[in-house]
Amino acid sequence: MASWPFSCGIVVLSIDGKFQLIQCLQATAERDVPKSKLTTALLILLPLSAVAGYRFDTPETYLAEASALPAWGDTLERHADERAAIDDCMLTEEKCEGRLNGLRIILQKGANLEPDQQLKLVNRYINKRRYRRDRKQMSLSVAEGGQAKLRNHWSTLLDFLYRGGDCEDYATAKYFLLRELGYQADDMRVVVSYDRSVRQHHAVLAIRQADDSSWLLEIDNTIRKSRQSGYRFIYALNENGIWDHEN
Amino acid sequence: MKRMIFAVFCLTAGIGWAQDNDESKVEKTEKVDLRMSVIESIVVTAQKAPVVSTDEPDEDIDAILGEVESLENEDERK
Repeated sequence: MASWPFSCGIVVLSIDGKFQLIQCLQATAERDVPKSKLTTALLILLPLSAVAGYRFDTPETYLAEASALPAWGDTLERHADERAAIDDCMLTEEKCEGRLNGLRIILQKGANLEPDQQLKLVNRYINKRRYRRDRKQMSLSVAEGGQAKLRNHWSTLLDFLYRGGDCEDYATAKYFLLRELGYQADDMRVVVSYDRSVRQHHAVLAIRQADDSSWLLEIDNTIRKSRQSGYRFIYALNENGIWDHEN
Repeated sequence: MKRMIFAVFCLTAGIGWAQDNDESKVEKTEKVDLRMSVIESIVVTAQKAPVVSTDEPDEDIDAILGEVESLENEDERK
């Protein structure tokens, strides 16, 4: 019995996050463990669980449909319009212009690769694009009352291939490209998180794995497969919705 | 008479339940709106680190990326 906080700690560190921590402590609470000990364990283990890997199946995190975030809803609509150009290019090589030529090769040759290799290809191809910090300046909007507010700008795939972007644009471009390669929307989410190491907000693409764990496609070419991400996940989105990970 | 009292009781309880349900729906909508405005105000600022690939080399991927790169270089020269 004395070893239960240690067991829960191992669960948090080696398996994943808050979800498992809560389950572990619930199971423990059903035994005769004093509440003071449970509280102490929560205080110690919760910060550890906050840096665990991303999970797709955490209950009660669905917040709203994708269009509830207007900038994201608008990006989805623009991408849907641009898909005609991608389809035309895939059908007829002569209709490919500029970056679409490279995209055609990625889609044609990527289709023959194993899923792991597809992720690696997409990650490296997108990460080669130009990094541009000034995208947010373009989305400066004057809110009611005349107060200027900075908003995230979410790029479409073609927008990003031609103009580059910053980290949320890299994540969304990977999302749209993997959709073209046949990945299901339900298996991918663009996750906005707080990176404790640099004390800044960051966005990565999470890919669901068969065991419900996830891989994170980073902007430095790495694919983070470990259970410990070092991120505090805030919210996530894809074309089917927005998930809140803080409430 | 008993039936009458029972009917009035059921009606009152029903109205009360419906009102509670409406209030909780409004509360939920307000909560979602509030959270959405917080989410909208989070600005992603992390910068791209210099890309030094630590992943294992893969000939297939290198070949595809090489082909894309030479095509794009050719386009830029035009």
